[in-house]
Amino acid sequence: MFEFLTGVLLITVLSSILLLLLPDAQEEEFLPLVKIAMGIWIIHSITRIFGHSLF
Amino acid sequence: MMPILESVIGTVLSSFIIVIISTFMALVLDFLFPSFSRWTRTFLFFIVLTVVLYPAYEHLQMIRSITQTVATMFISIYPLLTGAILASGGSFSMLNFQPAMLLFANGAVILADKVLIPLLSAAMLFDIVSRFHPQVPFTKMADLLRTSLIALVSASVAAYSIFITAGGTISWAMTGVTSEPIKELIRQNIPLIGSFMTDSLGAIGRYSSGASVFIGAWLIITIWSVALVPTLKTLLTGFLYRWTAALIEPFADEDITGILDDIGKTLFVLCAVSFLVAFAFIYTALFTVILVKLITAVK
Amino acid sequence: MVTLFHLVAIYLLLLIVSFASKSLQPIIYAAIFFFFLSYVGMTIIIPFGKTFLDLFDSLPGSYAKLLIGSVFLFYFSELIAKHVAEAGYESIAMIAHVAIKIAILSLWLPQLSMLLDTLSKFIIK
Repeated sequence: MFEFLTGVLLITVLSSILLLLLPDAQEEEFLPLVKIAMGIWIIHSITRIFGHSLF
Repeated sequence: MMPILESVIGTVLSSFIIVIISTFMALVLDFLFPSFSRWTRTFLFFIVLTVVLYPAYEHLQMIRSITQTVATMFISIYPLLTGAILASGGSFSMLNFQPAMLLFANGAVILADKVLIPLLSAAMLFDIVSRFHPQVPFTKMADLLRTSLIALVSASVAAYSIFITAGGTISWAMTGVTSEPIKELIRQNIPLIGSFMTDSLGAIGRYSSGASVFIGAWLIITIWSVALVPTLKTLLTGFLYRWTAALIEPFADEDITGILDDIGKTLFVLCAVSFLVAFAFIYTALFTVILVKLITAVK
Repeated sequence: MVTLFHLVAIYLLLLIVSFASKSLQPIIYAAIFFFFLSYVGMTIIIPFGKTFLDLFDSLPGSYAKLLIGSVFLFYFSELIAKHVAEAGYESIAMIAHVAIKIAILSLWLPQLSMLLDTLSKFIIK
């Protein structure tokens, strides 16, 4: 659980700093990749936390 | 409890997984071809709609068929019941079972069949249309339909409670210090219909504790579980919709999470309707059982 | 600071070139662009990326590496594509940009396939 939360926090901070570096026009273009990273992290953590009761 | 949970999760989990996978696919496409993103959104919308709408629709259909069964049951036994009540004469005065209430309960079932469930499907349709085409919104209409449905249902349950408390002095065995915190917990944690649930559960419980003097507790438990299992299933499914919406919100399209949330809300209201039906079912079943017992005892 | 000074120097050089010979200007512009890009990349962007990576070392998995790597790759490809587009070859730039995007996605592919595996397990069950 703690790992999941730190992951969410770090990915958020990291991606927001990276998007700060990119110009505005490319920010929109790069956003899906950040969302993919966040999604993969969330799904992985959820399956790790609840996995033992689902499999 | 666990088998119900498993069967509910089994029916909706795969569709939610498909939603998540298609969301990732749409994200990849969005990244590769940003100019195509409006098309991607439309396609994703259709995929999600076809996958997600089916379990909700199934629940609607299930509650509707239950309602119809209860209504036909009532219509077929009502002449018999009135005849029996007339024949048995004064033996009913010692109970708080009013025949008028029976009529009322089943009128509510017919109301649910003819009005509530069509209105609910209309609300769902309005939600989807306004999500799909945000420039032509019907959100207020959908909300109005839902809130008026809840108002109708809670008014009927309040009327039941009045009937019951007016007819007798029997009080719910659980009222008192122990049940109040639980009620408060339910009231605060189930959105939209929490307070309604506690009220109707209280009414049902008050009623059956009076009836348990005449018939066995196990019979009451059976009737309770038969009537309440569909309701519980609907409630769980509604919660699953909202949980999935919360889970995928960071990376999914706003419309998709909105649709899941709306369907969850509608399912909560459907749960309220099915509470009403369950209540009517419990009332009718208990009434019939007690009547049969009385008749056999007289003979 | 030093980079700003370099920028001013390059700008003056380009002005002189455009004054001296109009026909040679595009090729000198391109050469100086790539030279400047590699210089800035070597001295600023890559060291910065490394310290940045160390900063987010506690992030489990390879997410930090992947995100930072893909953002730099994306930015470089965008820069070069823009440069090519400025020279008038816009469609070539677009193709190259899409190719780089696909390359970035292929970096993410192991993670994605792992995710799809776990998800499809649920469906089959």
